[in-house]
Amino acid sequence: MSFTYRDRVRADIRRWAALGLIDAEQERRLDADVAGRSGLVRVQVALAVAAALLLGTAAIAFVAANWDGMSPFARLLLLLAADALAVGLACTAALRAREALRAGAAQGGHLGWLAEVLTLLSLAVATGSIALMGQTFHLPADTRAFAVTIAALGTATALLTRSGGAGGVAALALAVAAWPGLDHPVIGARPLPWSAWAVWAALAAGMLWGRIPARPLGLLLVLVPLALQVTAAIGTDGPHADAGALAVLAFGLIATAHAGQRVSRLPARLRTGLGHAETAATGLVLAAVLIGVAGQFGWPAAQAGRALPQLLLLAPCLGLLCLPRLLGHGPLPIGHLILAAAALASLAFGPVAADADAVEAVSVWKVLVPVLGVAVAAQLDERRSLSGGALAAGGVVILALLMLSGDLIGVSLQLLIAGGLAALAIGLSLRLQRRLAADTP
Amino acid sequence: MIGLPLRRAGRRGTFAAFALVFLVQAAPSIQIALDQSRRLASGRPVLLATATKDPRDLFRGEYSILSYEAGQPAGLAAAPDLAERQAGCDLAGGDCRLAAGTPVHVTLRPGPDGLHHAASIAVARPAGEGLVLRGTVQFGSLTRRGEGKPGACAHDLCFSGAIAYGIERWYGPQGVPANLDTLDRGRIRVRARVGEDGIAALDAILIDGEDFARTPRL
Repeated sequence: MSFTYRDRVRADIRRWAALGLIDAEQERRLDADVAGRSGLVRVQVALAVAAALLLGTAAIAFVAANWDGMSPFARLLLLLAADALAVGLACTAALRAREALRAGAAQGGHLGWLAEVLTLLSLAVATGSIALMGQTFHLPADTRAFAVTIAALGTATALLTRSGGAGGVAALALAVAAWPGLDHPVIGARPLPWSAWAVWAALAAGMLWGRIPARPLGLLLVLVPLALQVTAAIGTDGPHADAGALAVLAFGLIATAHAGQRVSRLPARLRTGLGHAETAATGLVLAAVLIGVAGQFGWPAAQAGRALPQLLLLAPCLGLLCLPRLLGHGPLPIGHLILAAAALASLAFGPVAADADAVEAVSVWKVLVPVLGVAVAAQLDERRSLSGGALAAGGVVILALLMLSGDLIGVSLQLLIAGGLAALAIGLSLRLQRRLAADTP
Repeated sequence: MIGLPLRRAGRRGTFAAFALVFLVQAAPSIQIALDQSRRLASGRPVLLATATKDPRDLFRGEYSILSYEAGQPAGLAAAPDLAERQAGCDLAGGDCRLAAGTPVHVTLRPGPDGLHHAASIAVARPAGEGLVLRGTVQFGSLTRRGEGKPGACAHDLCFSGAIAYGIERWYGPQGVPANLDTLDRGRIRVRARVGEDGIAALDAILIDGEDFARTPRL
C-alpha cells in the first residue's frame, strides 16, 4: 500500500467517524488494519523481482559462455532443469503461502507474492529455452509465431496457477503479435492466425470470469490486439493508427460491457470482470483521442481525418448506453456522454494541412479540450488512473501546443476562454450540489 | 500475487497445477528439438548455393543470414494455381503481385555442378518423387511468357521474387559468422535436409566442399 493511499484512507476513516458512519471501535479496527499493511511489502517484492532478474541473467550468461561445448541433449536437459527448478520453487512458495494464510500468519501475503515472482521466472526460463533451442537448430526468427507461443504459455500458466503476472505477459505477447508490420514493415497489418485468437479468447475469458486476477490495465492490454486488428480491418487506409475506428470499437465494447452488467442473475465475478472491461475500453477512448491529437499535430501514421461512417457508428453505441436509463427514468450516464463528446470533438476536425508551418490557436479546442474531457469523464466515473493518465497527456499536449504554435497570444486567449468555461462549469456544479443538499430532507 | 482460490485448493491440487505448468512450458522446446533432430536424421540431403551476411541478434547472439540462390528466383516456371489463389492478381493487366506469407512448394533439381536449383514453383505440392521444398513468399510477382524484359520469362507463367525456406539463419560462435562473411561466396554451400513434409532443416555449412559447421543432433 502506498503511503499516499494510506493517508487518504486514514482521512476517509476520520471523516466517516466524524459523520457517525462508524463507531470508535470500528475506527480503531480500521486504523489497525491500515497500519498493518506495511509499504515495505512492495519494496520486498520489487527487490525479489530485481534479484530474480539479476540471478537469472547471471545464470544465462554463465551457461552461454560454455554453450558451444555442450551437446544439444545436454542443452535441452539444462534448460528443462532450470524450468523445473523455477516451477518447483514457485509451487513450494504457493503451498507455504496457502498454509500460512490458513494459519492466519501475516507472511502468507509475502509468500504469495514470491510465488507470483517465481511463476513469472519460470515463464521467462521457458521463453529463453524456446529461443535457445531455435538457436541450436538454426531456426529463423519468426517474431509473431514466437510471441503467440509465449502468449499460449503465459495463458496456460495464468489459468493453471491463477497468476495475474503471467496473464499480463500473455496479453503483452499477443499485443506484440498483433502489431502491424512486425515482421514485414512494408506490408503492415496482417491478420492474426486462428491459434492466436484461440489464446486471446481463453485469456480474455479467464480474466473476465475472474480465473486470472486482472485489473482494468490488464484487460486494456488484452484489448490492444483486438483494437489493432479491428482498426486495421475497418480503418480508412493501410497500416495507420485510425482514431475513428478505435473510438467506434471502444464505444462498442463500453456499451456491450455496460449492457452485460445489467443482466440479472449474472455471477458477481463476471459482473466485476465486465466492469473492469468497461474501464479498460474507456482507456481505448483515451487512446483514440490521443491518436486524433497526434493526427492534428501532423503525425503521418495517425489517421485522424473526418470519417463519417465511423462517427455514425457511434450513435447506436451511445443509444445502447443511454436508452435503458431513459426508459427506466434513471440518470443519464454523464461520464459516458462527456467521453463521447471528447471522442467526437477529436474526430470531427480534419488533420492539419500538410503545408501548415505551425499549429493554429484554435487547436486548443481540437486537441486539448478532448483530452481534458476524458479526464473529467474518468473522474466522474471514479476511474482515477485513467483520469490521471488523461491529465498527464493534457500536460504534454499543452507543452506541444506552446512549442508548435506560431501564435502564442492566440493560444493563450483560447486557453483563457477554455479555462473560463471550466471555472463556470465548476460554479454551476457547486450550485447544483447546494440545491441538491437543500432538497434532501 | 497468485490468486486466492489456488490458496484454497488442496495440496495435491496445487502440486498437480504446477506439474502441469512445467509440462506445458517444457513442451515447445522439446518439440523443436525432436522435430529438428528427426528431420536432420531422416531428411533427403540437398546442396544449395548461398551468400552470407553477419548481423547480430540481441537475444540469440551472432548469426549469418543465408541468401540462397533458390530463394531469389527470377523467371522461375510457375504453376497456374499461384495466380488462381491470389486475390487481386491481374495477369492480363500485367499486375500480379503475390502477398507476403503465401505458402509455396518449390521443386528442386540437381544440376551438373552438384548443386540443387529451383525448377518450378506452385502452391499445391506437386505429385511424384521429386525433391520439393516448402517455403513462403517474401515478395514476388507473376508474369506471362514474353512479358517484361526480353527473355525474362521463358515459360507460360513465371515467378520472380524472394522465398524463405526457414533455413536462412546460421548461429555460430562469437566471431565466426563475421569470418564467414569475408569468404568468397562461391566457396560457401549449405547442405539442408528435407523432410517428407517439404520442411528443410539446416544440416551443415560447407566451405570448398568440406563440412565447416554441422548442426548437432539430440
